[in-house]
Amino acid sequence: MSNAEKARELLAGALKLPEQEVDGSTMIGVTQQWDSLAHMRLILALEEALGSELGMEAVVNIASLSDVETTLANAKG
Amino acid sequence: MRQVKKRNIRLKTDRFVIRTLRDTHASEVMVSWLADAELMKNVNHKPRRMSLLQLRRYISSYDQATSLLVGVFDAASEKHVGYYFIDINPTQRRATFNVVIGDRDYWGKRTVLETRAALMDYMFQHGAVEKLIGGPLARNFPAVFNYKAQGWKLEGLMKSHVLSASGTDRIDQYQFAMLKEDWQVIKSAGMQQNGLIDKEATA
Repeated sequence: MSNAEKARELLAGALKLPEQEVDGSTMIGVTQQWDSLAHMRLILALEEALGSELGMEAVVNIASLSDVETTLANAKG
Repeated sequence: MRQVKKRNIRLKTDRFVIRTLRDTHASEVMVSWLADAELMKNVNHKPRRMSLLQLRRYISSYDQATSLLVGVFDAASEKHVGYYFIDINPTQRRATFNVVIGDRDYWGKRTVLETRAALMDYMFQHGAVEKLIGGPLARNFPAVFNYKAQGWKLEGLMKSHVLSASGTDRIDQYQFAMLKEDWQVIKSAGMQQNGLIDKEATA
């Protein structure tokens, strides 16, 4: 699975949305389902997928689908 | 030194009433929040089981001038759902925000976004404050979300900044800030309409 596909899967799971409803316009402040608990679910899901805790910089930079993909890519080096 | 007047805050939003807590607001519900390890961990306080008398004294320890304790109540049911504690530095015209939403039924429902927006309006309009600070602990992801979603600017990532309430380890902390002029821009940009910030509260 590509980082883009994994990012979409993780974000859709956290937001409890069908994957086809998660796209480039999905972001904090725009997507109603992206609330504080969804954000927590997303970070924890990312950490589980990566097998390690995210750094402070990574956590605070996540605000969109592309940020999730970037986080996955950076973590995998 | 200039005397800072006591505040008697009472704000109304769509869903909540926000008001200065008095010792008469002491309840077993609030006692349970202060003894709740998960809730207290988020604000780096040691959980403590208080008696009602101790809670009344705790509430009274806030001078409500530079050290505010403000309750959040469901406007429909009048249920107490959480509280803010806010420290004001009148010399620097700066205030530091902390919040505990004790009732978990109100988590993930934009309770903080809605109520803090009203308090921010109040602080900037009536509190003689020009800058607000928020310092969520690094692993308090819902709090980090709330600052980002509300448009606060990240000012710093502070490694091992605070000693944990248990005294056993040091914890990373973020610093977010909101300037008065930035808040005006956010509000005038109409970000309330797209779900970022709930409707403006009226004092």
